[in-house]
Amino acid sequence: MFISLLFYNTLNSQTNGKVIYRISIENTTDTSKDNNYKFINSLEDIAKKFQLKLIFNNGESFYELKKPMNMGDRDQSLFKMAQIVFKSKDKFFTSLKDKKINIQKDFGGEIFLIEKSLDISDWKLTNEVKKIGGYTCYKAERVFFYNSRIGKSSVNQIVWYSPDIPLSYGPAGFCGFPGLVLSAKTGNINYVVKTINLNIRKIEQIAPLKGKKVTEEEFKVIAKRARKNIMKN
Amino acid sequence: MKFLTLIIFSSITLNSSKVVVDCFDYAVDSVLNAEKVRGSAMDDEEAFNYMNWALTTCMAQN
Repeated sequence: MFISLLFYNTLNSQTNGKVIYRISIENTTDTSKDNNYKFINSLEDIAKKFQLKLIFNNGESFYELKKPMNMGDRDQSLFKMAQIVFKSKDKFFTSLKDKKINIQKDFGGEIFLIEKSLDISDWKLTNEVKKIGGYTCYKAERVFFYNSRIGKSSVNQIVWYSPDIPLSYGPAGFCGFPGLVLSAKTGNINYVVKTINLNIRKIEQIAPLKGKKVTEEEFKVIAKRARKNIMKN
Repeated sequence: MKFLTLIIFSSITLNSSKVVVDCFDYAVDSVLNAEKVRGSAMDDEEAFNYMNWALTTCMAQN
């Protein structure tokens, strides 16, 4: 047990790599009969252009959405909208040594930095297994409760992590699991791994994120005030 | 002349107000659509960002 833990920690801190995730929306209705079908189609089109990049080295990781080059005005506008819908506006810095995750938010013309601990205590780790890209993945799930614009809300979340790659990183803040997260689902949004490159010779520099440090609760107050101002209630 | 200017100004103001109201309605509908598609309600941060985007886009088009 001790040896495997030692191996796990050593691997966690020494392995470097780059993972690209893509995004898809799970259709819960027949889109041709849905009044939103044009909206859904344009979101699906723009989702194909989404590439979410996770890089890691020496026990630290950085995750962000890669912005495609050469987009016209209309696509740029749709891209901006899809970033919000797909929860892909934020940048994430993870330190496994400190067991912390820093989230950088560009909100209302200001850059905020929120620090959270890597904690998966509210997740249920199951024995359900499936293969993703040849890797054996285990399912973890939870019902995530949060304060939405309409009050208390919840969303079902599922993560598939692979102990074959014992690195506690993942997309969109889904970190801290005993293996790399290869797929994550929140509501109808799916983040699925596209490519995995481990132990690459030239890895991009990972630097801690900057911004005005606020607690998660402080940020929620700022966001609520701004939302109430724009929505008038 | 003053009367004509007043009519034009009032017309522009009324049209602008209508655009603002229409765009606000469009933005609120957009939030509901987006929430339906992604299967979760937006939090305050997302709702603010989305409203901002929808209002800006709509005003630019009108």
